[in-house]
Amino acid sequence: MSKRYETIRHLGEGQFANVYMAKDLETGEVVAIKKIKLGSREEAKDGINRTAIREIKLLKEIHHDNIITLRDVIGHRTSIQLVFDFMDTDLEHVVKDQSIILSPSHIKNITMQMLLGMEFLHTHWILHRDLKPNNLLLNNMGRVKVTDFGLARFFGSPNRNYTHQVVTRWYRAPELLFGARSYGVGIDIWSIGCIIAELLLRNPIFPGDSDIDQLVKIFNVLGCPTDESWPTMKTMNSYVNIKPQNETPGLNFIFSAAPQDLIDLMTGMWVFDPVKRLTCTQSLQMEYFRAQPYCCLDEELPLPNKKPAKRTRRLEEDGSHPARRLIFD
Amino acid sequence: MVKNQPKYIKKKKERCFQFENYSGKMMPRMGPPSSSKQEPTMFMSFRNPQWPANFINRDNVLDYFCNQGNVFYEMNSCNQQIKMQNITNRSVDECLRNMQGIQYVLWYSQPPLYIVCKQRRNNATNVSPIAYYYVINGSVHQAPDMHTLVQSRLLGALEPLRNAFGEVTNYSRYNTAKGYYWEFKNKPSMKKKEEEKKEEDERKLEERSTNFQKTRTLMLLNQLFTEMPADEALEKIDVEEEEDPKPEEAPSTTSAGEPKFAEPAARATTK
Amino acid sequence: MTDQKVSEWIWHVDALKSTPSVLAGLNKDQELLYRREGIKLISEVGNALNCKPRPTIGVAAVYFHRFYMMHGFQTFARELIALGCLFLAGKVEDFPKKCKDVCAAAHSLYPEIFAKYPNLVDDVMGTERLLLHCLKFDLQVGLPYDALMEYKTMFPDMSRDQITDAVQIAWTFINDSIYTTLSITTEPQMIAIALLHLAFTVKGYQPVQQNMDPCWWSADVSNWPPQSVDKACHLVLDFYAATKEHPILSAKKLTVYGAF
Repeated sequence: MSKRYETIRHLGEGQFANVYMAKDLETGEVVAIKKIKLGSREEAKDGINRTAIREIKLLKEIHHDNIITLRDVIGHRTSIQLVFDFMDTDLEHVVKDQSIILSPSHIKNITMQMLLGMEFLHTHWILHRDLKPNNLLLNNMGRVKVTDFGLARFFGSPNRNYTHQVVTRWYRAPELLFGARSYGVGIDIWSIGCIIAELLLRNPIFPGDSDIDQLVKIFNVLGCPTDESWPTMKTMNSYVNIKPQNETPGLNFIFSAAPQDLIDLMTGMWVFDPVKRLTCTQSLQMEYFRAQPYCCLDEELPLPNKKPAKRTRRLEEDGSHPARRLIFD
Repeated sequence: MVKNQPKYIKKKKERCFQFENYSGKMMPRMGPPSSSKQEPTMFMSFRNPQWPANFINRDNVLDYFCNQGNVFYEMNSCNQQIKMQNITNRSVDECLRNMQGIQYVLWYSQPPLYIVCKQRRNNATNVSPIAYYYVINGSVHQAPDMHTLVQSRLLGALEPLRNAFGEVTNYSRYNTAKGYYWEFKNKPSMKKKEEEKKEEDERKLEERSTNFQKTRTLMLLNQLFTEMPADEALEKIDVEEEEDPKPEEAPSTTSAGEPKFAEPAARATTK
Repeated sequence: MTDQKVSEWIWHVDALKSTPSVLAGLNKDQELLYRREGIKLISEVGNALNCKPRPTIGVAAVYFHRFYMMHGFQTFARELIALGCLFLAGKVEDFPKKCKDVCAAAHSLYPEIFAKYPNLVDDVMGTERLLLHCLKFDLQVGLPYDALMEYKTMFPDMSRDQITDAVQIAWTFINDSIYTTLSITTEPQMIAIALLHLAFTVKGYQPVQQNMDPCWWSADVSNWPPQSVDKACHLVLDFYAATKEHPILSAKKLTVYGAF
């Protein structure tokens, strides 16, 4: 490790890197260091990992409250270390923690933070391509940050073909399952819709075992897309005709306690035709974010093994939180 | 009480409308705006026929209540959120204590009667009750508030009275000889007036006046004398053109005093 | 060295007089030639691998120029650094080329130059790491092509054919500008403006009307009189002049100055 950072402990291991918790001896702050494996000569057939390069390139350019901040990059002979802000937990842990109950205010806050971060990415022509609860980190101040840009890329160049093997299957948009070689922000929006559903149900909504099973699970909930609703569907590379197994229950039935404006938001994010799907900016302008209950403060988000800060704040007449100050473009 | 319903509900509707305007935020948002105006729930009830008879007990009565088809149950309540989020590691009560918003709790149970309270929890130690519902033999009703109850009882007492008065008015009669009196024997009809006139004519010959007439006339005269006392001269206003041949002579009866006639004992004397 | 910088990766023109190579004994023109040779390698090997000037070759060239503002040609062999830049740029811009393919193409095009590297693949991978460190992992590079496309619509007084023609010529100028030090002395948008201006001049087009400000770039760039723009253009013109008579690497051998 570099002289500036003192390792505290090992946090986890991924496909390409090991993550450590460390202390920045210059500033005294706690950081997370991602040490990218360079491996033996046989493994490192092609030098530094492509995904790592991509991550570094993008993260160095991006600065936003809801995107993980790359503080430093240290190049060693044997490794490359990326230094990030330390984040205490992630959304996956929050969802799986049964001792936490997510109130409508909490869900609205998390959704808003997600969308703000993704809106920034999309306006800077970057697709994330791997959004899932695991990649949404939370610190103990309740700030949500998008991370893991290993699969992210710049998009928008015409005539560029991309791989369709992106996004963990459960959060994959139908156009990817149909083998699309060209796609856009819609795939991230679909993932966000799946994540919101998971916040509501505390379980993944479309846990498919295979690509076909994934489509089946999607159609069982949302119904089958028709030629009118998705004109280009049948032209896709891996299109298969799938009939839903049973009657679709309707989102109001599945998300029984969710307000109608949230159902409207999710419906817009799960439109089959990627062209007609909501964008981040459109999503943020939906009625859901203007209506009561207003989203809670970041500090009030419940975290695993931690009581959220209870602030004595004046509530509205009917007991709801006062509006969070936001600037709408 | 059943009889009063049509009128009462109308009033209740207006009041309900005001209530909704004031705290429309509290109404659940379920579906397009047209369905957000709720019917007043006071006289509705809920029953789930799919539950077998006598199946409800203290532990599952809340489950019975928290049903989408139950008009008293709001789907965005804390209870439904717990259900939707599949929280099973703790009791519902414990979860509810830490949540804010509309909740339903079992307030009292004495089988076959259970009382469920709809409350708004503001924090872990502060709740505001909103309404109470009772479950009896599988039927859920809303427990009336004091105002409803008192109003209902009052109406129950007064409506028959009002009807009675209305009914009785049809039997009241008046004639100049007798004054007001009741005629209950026959049904009221217009023909009676003709018969009354005949009777009157006949009676005129028999008596000079009835007691009623005497009393009333006396009273009227006394009233007039109070207004126009006998000992005050009535002035004549001079008219220019015409000269009254006897201007001074006022038709006064000062010295004559009051007219003499038999006065009932209790009559008050004039000056 | 830092006080000669305009921004993180843009140097003053004067800084070119005191690069590490010059300070170690090379003269300015020799260095320019060395640079051109390195870029030539990038361009030829890149072409052989189907890389395009935009973006892979363009980005690789920028990395090359930047690297040699911090190290001397005497210390690091330009043929290796050139391949390293190409290899890295491929990954960064998502047109990755396998290291062995890069090396194979280099061997086949310039066998004499690369004959002394029996383990070229390892060497190139080593330079990748070196480059990353040197470039401080600032891998995102803007190229003038984007700015050029934006200016396409800025000239209502010109006919469509004229503007298309001018843009086409400017594009070629940008392609060739990688051989010069423009990318490390001028912002990409300004390169685009200068070379578009050069295109207009060469073809005799009038981008704006007579009575209007001839500096049509003033809205975007302040304090840039036509003389300065011309200076930038001269770099490209000098390149053309220099290589007309003596094409780079015509003998497929690197030029050697002194004991290097």
